Amino acid sequence: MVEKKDVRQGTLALMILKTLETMGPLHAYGVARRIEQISDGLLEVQYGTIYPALLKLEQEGYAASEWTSSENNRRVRNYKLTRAGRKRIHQEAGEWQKTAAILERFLSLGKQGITRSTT
Amino acid sequence: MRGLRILVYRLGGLFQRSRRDHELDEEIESNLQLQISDNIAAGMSADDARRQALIKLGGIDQTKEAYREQRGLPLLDSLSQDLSYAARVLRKSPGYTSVAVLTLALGIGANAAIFSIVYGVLLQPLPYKDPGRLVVVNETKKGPGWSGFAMLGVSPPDFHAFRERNRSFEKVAAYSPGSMVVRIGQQSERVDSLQATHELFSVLGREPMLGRSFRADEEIAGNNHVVVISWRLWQKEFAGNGSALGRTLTLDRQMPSTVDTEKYVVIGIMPPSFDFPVDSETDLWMPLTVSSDPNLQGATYLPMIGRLKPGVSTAQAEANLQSIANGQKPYQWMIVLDQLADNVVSKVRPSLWMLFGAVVFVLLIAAANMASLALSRVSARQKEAAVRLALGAGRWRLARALLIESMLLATLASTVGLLIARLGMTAMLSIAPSTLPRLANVHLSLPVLVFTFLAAVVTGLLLGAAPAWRAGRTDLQQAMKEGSPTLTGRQPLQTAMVGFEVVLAVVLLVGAGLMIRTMAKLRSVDLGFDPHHILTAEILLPQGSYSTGTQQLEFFDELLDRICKLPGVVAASGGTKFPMSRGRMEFSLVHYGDDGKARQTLVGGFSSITPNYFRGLGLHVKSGRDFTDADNADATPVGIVNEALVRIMWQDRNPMGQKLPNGFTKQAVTIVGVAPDMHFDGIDKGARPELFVPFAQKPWGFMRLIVRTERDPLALAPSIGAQVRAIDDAQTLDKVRTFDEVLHDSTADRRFYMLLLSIFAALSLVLAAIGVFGVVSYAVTQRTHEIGVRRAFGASDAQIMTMVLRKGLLPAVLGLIVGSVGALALTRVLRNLLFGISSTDPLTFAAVPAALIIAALAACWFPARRAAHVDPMAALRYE
Repeated sequence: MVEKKDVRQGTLALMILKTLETMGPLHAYGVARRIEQISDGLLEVQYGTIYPALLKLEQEGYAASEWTSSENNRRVRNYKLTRAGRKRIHQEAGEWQKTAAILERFLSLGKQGITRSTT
Repeated sequence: MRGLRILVYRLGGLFQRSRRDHELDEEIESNLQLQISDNIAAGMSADDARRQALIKLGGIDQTKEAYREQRGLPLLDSLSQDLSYAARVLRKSPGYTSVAVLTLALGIGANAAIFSIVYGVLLQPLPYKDPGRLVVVNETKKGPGWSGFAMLGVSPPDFHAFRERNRSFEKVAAYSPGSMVVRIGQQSERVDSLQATHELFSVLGREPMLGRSFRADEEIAGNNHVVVISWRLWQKEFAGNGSALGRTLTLDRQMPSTVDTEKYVVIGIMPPSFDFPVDSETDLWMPLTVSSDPNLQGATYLPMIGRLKPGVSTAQAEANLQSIANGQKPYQWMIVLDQLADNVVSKVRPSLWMLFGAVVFVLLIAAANMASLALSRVSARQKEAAVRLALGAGRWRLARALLIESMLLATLASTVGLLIARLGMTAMLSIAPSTLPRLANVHLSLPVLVFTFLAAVVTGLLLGAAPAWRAGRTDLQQAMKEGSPTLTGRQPLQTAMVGFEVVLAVVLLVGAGLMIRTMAKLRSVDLGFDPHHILTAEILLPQGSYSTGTQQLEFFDELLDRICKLPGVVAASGGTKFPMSRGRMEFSLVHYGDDGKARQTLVGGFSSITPNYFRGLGLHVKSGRDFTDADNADATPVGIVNEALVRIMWQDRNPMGQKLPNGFTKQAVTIVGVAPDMHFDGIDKGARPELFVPFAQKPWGFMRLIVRTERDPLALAPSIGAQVRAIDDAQTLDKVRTFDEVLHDSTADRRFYMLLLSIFAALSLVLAAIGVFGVVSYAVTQRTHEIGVRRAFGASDAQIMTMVLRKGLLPAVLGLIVGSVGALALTRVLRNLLFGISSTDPLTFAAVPAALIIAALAACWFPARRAAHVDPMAALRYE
């Protein structure tokens, strides 16, 4: 059985932004559900943490929100990506990929090193 | 940039909380509903769907709390909570609050008032460009006999040499203060004036706001009838009209020049903030022609100022000028350079810092007092603290709440303190001695307000530190135990604080005691004559209408004659100075030993006096004869010397008939009498060598009158003034004072420091006594039960009272010991102000402990009596 992981600090923001980029304007519940779906159940998202995270993104200017009416006439707060948010996704995505690549290399290098020293 | 944006948003989040909370409720609820419908669609029951959604959310309240923390500034949020809590606490105990605010306000207010003087006089830069580079140049000599030499400036030939050859100054200027009568139309008014070489304004780095300053060629006689006027005079005489430029002023020179009444063209108007010399209220500045007579090499009367080149130190410039001075002939003077600012305030600097130190002590005592009171309150509120701790408040949060409470107190106190400072400052300025410079600068300026604010913050921290520390250490178990005595009556921290208060109070009391003793000593100085019933006044004759000695002598002869004939006048005489008036005329002579070699140079005071000068004061010449009317201009030049001069010049030999050359009379004077030593330079100063000559043989256009009267001297002032006008309508009496006033003024500076120190000391004594009272009284309250038990077991009243007294006397005695040692070390800063006693005066050091012990006993008395009257039954039942 695969262990479920909590969301790492800092990565949640990027996930939210990416979700907003692919899905367009979305409410908090939708964002949380989408992140869970994408992670294929590997991530345990406590939905309550989404609200402050969205607020933070809004304060930072990466996301904006507006109240709209949903299909059953309920007022829903929808969040959407701003231009700054879009820029941040690309920036952070690039950095993540770079970091991942470096780590990947280090980790595989380490194994080789150990192998070599034992032979 | 983004950081700023976040801050703005978060600050915004502090407002409209209810609307934002409402929106959050709605958002969470609508999202929950979406989730619930999804859950139902997935086949759950309605109840289950909601339950699952809530689990998934992780709790509505937790979400809201996390959201709120992100929304506002959590620190600020809780701060404002603490603040309103503190305000509630303070409002709930108005007695404590008002006592604390008043006590601290006195401390902070006194600090603000004294700091306003320290800042205005000592710290605020002089109103010139880059004033740190302005230095005054003086010439003097070193060695015995020269110590009393007044440093008035440099000699004219040296000034020319310095001006041409120095390498250290951007520019130098010489100047000469005087006074003039300005005539505009029918009106005339005497104003202070200054003649200065043309560089003066550029040395100071200030230029006229209208018109121009002097040109170099305006120093040349014939071109020099130009004048720069003050903003004040411009307003008064020209109503601030720009057409004043180019107008002529009719000026009558009075001192010390020989120029007659002249017309001067106004070429410039200085801005209102300009004043030079510092503190002078000078209204006219005119070009000065510095004499190029090489014979003046010995006369160092010319004040000189210079602006150092950037990077040149005072010492370097001093060395530079010294090397120039060493090449001068026939005298080589020693050069002394002082920063202009030092020159102005160096005399009062130690005293003002001493006052500031004293007032800081008062504030520390007030803060310690209130801190110890606050500690008692914390002990009483321990249960409350324990409850808050148990409910999950952090210890830091608890401590911080108390710190905020004390900060709030200090802030309130500083507001009240500023009011006190305003009143105190007005009162202080009204009694400030004339020796205190730059008083016009003293007000509640921005730096004073900043200082007051900082003082309040520091006070708040000092006040809150101990209670906060104590609260942070609250022992939950202990505090929550029902009925257990909260404290066992031992309060080491409070006791230590009261001890600390006593230490500071002792130092202040000793300081005040020393000053009070000094004033008493000054009052008991034997002047050698009766100072009551004497009127003094000054008359300055204009050089224009009284240019010759004969004219001057005629005027004063007639005036003294007329005054003598007035009813109520016992005697009238005059001279260029009288006791305590200080004189600026000095002579120097070389003292030759028996071997004919020069042994030392003697500097003494010179004055011209009328025949009955000594008799008028009630003194008699010690030996030889007094001057008579026969000692006139045609007779042999004679002189009278004082005993101090005889002691130095002739020791035990007879001075009569000796010849004394001096710089004032053409020939050496023959000594005909010896006068008693008098206090010319101040009641605290010993007698310097003095030479007197008959006014008739060396007249001046200036006289200080001494009129002995039968009754109230001031009552005669109008009729004396009338005699002056009867001789010459245009002349007036100046500075009319009784001799009692002269005496009073001569000790004004010490009285000022004595008064302030005494006020601070009295304040500190009362505060320390309150501190002792607080600790003892609190201990009695806390130990009522114990005292009841003791009494039940038969302790006597005396035993109970002794127990309580010991409680209060312990910190008093310990503080007294430490404080006395501290006072021995610290009161040395008073040395320059003391007179007739040493800074370890035994009487003071005995009286202060006595006063302190009495105060401490008095403070213990009421709590002790209360303890002795504790009813054992009531105390035990209370349990």
